[in-house]
Amino acid sequence: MTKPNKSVCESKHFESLFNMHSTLLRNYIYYKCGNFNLAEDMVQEAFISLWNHCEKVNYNEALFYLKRVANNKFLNTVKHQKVVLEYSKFKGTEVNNESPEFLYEEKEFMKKLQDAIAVLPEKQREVFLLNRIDKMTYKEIAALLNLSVKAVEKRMHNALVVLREKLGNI
Amino acid sequence: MKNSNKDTLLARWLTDDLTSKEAQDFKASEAYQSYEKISAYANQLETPPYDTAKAWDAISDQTIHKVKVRPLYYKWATGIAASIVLLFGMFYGLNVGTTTYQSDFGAQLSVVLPDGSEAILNANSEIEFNKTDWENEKRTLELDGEAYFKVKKGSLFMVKTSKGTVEVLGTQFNVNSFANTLEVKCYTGKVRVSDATNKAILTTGNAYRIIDTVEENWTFKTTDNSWLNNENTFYNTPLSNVFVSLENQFKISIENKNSYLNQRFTGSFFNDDKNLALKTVLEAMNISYVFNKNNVILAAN
Repeated sequence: MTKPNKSVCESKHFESLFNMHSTLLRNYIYYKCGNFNLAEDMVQEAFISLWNHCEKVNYNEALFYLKRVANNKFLNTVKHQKVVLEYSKFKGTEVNNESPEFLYEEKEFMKKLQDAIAVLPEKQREVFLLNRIDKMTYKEIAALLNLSVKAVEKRMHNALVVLREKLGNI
Repeated sequence: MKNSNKDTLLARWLTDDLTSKEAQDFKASEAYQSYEKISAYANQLETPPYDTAKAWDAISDQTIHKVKVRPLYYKWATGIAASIVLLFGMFYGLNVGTTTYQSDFGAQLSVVLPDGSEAILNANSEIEFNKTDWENEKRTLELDGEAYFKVKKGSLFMVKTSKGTVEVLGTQFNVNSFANTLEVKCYTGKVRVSDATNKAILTTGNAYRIIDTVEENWTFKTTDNSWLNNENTFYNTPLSNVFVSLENQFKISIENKNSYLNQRFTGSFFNDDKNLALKTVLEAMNISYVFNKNNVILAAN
């Protein structure tokens, strides 16, 4: 007999699911479309949908449900917008004693990198950023996106190859 | 295998998962510095802050703080429903929340599964699955009898039988299950069959059978007739299974079959004529019989 699952229909469990998964979900959608408002709207709709179907979803599998709903809603909205991703302000790689020129170079490179990431194919971009920003392991990404670990590694590898090609010899 | 490792090299480098030779070669390569730089900068990326408190307020207003409209009888209904289910659970091993499809004797049943895949059940066969699983992209079902599956591409699709399990990613295949026999024919794509001791991978035109622990392989033409065209076909099939097919198709019972169970039959019978079907199978196997209403009595061997 399986031990009783936490019920998603209970407010405290629903809220803890929000705390656990909202940021990742919002980032994931954001990586796909580059639009905050859209991403945050999708997250909101996904959680509302989760609440409305709470009896049918397993607490431990809520993230997959949320991702699927958010994905579906996303596919139904306007796609093909130019993806312009924004990031937290980059303050340079070292803390002090940097000459203004060096800091400028660093910021320039970071900008080029961000631009290059924005034009990566969506499949590569989402894997790359889920790993780099959200620190998800390949195994976790594979589970979330329903891929094999090998497929995730390939996308990651290809993302790096493309980025290097775009950024030239550095 | 070497080739496939090359296209994950950089991914594995990031997680320190290279062989020492790979690591050496990579570090010495021209590109290494570039990748180091990309990795170092990419590590510093962060998304701008997400005001989760504000988001939660908006969400909770529309969910936990919203009064759910429930049918008036909800409260007491759950109480009673729960105890009834428990009772059945003890007596019949009923699975709550499962969906079941069963075909009649002599009839085929076509079922569309929650993901749009299709299962066509041969006579007197049954499939059972849990809808919630499918909503969570876990495509699993149990099969008792014979069915032909047309599986859409997607997550792992699993057919469990009492004998073993068949897994596919997106393909068309036939599964025929009995107590201690499992027979799988792959029509398109790739199928993996496994049971307690054996495992096999089939591609188009491959057929596979496990009887207890013995494996058999053969090839077949995917364009040949099958029960889907109302001709039940058999290749070196144990008679016991052929008898089951006859019983399922014509809703008859075959007596005195014990001494014939292990003989093998290759041939077919059509679904439209009971007498002709029995004649085809039994005369080919040199078995005398008497057919009375719905009973077939085989002569002693």
